[in-house]
Amino acid sequence: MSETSTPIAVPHTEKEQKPKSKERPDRGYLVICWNDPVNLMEYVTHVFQVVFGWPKARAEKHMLQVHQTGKSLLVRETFEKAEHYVHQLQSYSLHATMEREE
Amino acid sequence: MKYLPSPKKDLAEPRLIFQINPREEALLLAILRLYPVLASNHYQISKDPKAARSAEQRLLEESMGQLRAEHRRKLDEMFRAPQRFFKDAPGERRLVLTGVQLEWLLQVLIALENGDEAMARRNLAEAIRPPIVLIGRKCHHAEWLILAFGVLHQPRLD
Repeated sequence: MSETSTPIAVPHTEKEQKPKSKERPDRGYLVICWNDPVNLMEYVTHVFQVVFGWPKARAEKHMLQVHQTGKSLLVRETFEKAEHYVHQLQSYSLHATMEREE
Repeated sequence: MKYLPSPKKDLAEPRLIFQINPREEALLLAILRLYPVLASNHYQISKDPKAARSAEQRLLEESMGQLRAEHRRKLDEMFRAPQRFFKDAPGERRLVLTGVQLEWLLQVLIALENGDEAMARRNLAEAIRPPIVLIGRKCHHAEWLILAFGVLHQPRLD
């Protein structure tokens, strides 16, 4: 369906629009999805496709990782983007958190 | 309840059609009236206990609160005018949704399932939400919820 295959737009930060120096944005925040007893596997795959715009195979790989190991590291991002993704995933009732990379 | 794949796939906004009987329709509406079940603070931004009172946690709760209010507003619209969604067809009753409406309904149903699970874990489900009584018999709404979700999710798998 067209409405769901389009990835959700991530808000652009000022830093991204105007790169003034060679400084890289701090992409040290991990978005993690945790296993839960409710969400169906197909649904989790669908949500990953919607939120990240991933192809089905990649979405399924992460879904299986969640299912088999209890969690999956989905993306490593800047603070703002990681926060955005967690909000999106939680709006679909997935158990997602953002953690600072150690 | 059953998904009826539409032959008209070239429409700008294709309609997704489900066959639904009157009892299922009443049950779906009764279950949707339970929304929202989960409190905003159910959602956690991080596993780090220090994050529980952080600005990011408050932002997440605010965001989830807004989403719940928006879902609730759309549900109220549905309850006010169910004929926008439930239609009579020759010999059957149908639930007709756009892709956007289906996405919204799936979000609401999965939130209800998660709420049901969360309350069951706290042994609160029966105290807060007694079984729905429809047409003279108790209905196990959690089981039906899962079934309805599976059927509604089917167009997404095709």
